[in-house]
Amino acid sequence: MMLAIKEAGNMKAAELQTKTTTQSPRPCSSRSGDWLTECMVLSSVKRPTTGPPSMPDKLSEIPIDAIRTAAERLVGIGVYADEERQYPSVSTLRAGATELDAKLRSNGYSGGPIAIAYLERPHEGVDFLIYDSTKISDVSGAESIWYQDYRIRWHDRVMRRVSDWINRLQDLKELFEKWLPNGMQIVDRAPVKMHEELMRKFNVPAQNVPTFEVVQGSNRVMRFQPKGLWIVGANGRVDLVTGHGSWILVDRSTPLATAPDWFLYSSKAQPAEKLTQSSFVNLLKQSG
Amino acid sequence: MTIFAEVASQWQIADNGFSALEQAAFLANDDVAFDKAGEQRKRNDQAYFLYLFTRFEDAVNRAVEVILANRVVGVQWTDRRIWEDWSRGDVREVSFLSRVRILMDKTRNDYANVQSYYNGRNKVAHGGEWTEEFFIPTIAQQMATLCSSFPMH
Repeated sequence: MMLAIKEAGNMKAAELQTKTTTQSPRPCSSRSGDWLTECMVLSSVKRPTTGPPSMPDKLSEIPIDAIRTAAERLVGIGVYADEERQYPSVSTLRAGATELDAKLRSNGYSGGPIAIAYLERPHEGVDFLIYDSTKISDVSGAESIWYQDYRIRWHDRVMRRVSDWINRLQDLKELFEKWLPNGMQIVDRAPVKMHEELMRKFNVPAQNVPTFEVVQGSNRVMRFQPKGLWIVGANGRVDLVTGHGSWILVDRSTPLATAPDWFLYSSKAQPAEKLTQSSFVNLLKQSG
Repeated sequence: MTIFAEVASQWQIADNGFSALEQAAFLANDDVAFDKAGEQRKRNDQAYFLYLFTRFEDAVNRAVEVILANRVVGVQWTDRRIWEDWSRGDVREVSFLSRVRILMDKTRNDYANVQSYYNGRNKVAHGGEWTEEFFIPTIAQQMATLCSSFPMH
């Protein structure tokens, strides 16, 4: 298959990278600017292998999902950007352009020759694009089409994340309601406005998130105060404050996971414990 | 105890101070004071995050220096030229993420985590919206794990 390869740029420092053991990136392999803010630091840290520089990444190491996504976007809008940094360097892609073209075609791409070109300036962490050279005439046109699509996809993703966060908070409220000892109840407070950075960036309107207190008669026992969704080190944080202590509730699940994974951190530097009815009731006992 | 665990312990003491303000505001049913204490608590998290980041950057620098030193001795020029070039200057003059790429694969989650630290560090250190939120215990633990795999010699 004929390929239209556009020359550009010098060898990048990334090409000096140390190659680690063979391992495909996991789903939370967030890479570009927004992915970083979005995905944050949730995965357990695996030990990187250090060592001498080795041969550049091979095309065969590109995860199949990343090839499928590229084929799908090339068919759909005519351009693909490696937003999750799963592809090797441009020089490697160019050297293996025929192989890449064949991989794309075997995964559904059926357009014209592909072009691989550097952006004039990195954009949202992306520094090159792959595009259908019969649909799009130059890299700046490709960039503009990709970025429009990028914003739409991110708007949708941020909406889903926000909605998921509000649902998780509502679920927590229901769970707490079920777990409350006799004599205690939940009293809603005025909701808090949520309009975090990614929401503003992708024009997602501000949303209300629930706050409430646990009360026992006229005695206020605990405040439930959501602090934020996009936290470096957690998939959302809620502070639980009583008159005698405070606890940080963090969700250790990956974004948009099927179920949350709430952990309670005490201000008394005890090890974190999984949120259960028993840990919650203990917390309330310590409040009195 | 690693330096990261030490910083996290120190953070815990400071965090307790700010959460005590929150608790007092809660007892007094004073929403203004409660919000103010929450904001102070967030600033404290940001300050400790920067503190952790400086320690992490230092560990990255030391590990890169170890790798550079190991790559320029007894190695053919074709293999050592890039390393040699880096070795001539101060490693800190090379961009932070380039240094990190010497230590880990950029397609891995570890690298993404470090990028998110770096983004967070830049947002806090260089002004801007200053709204970044950090959960120190997890970050400290992750940094310690990452650094434990860096070459020491």
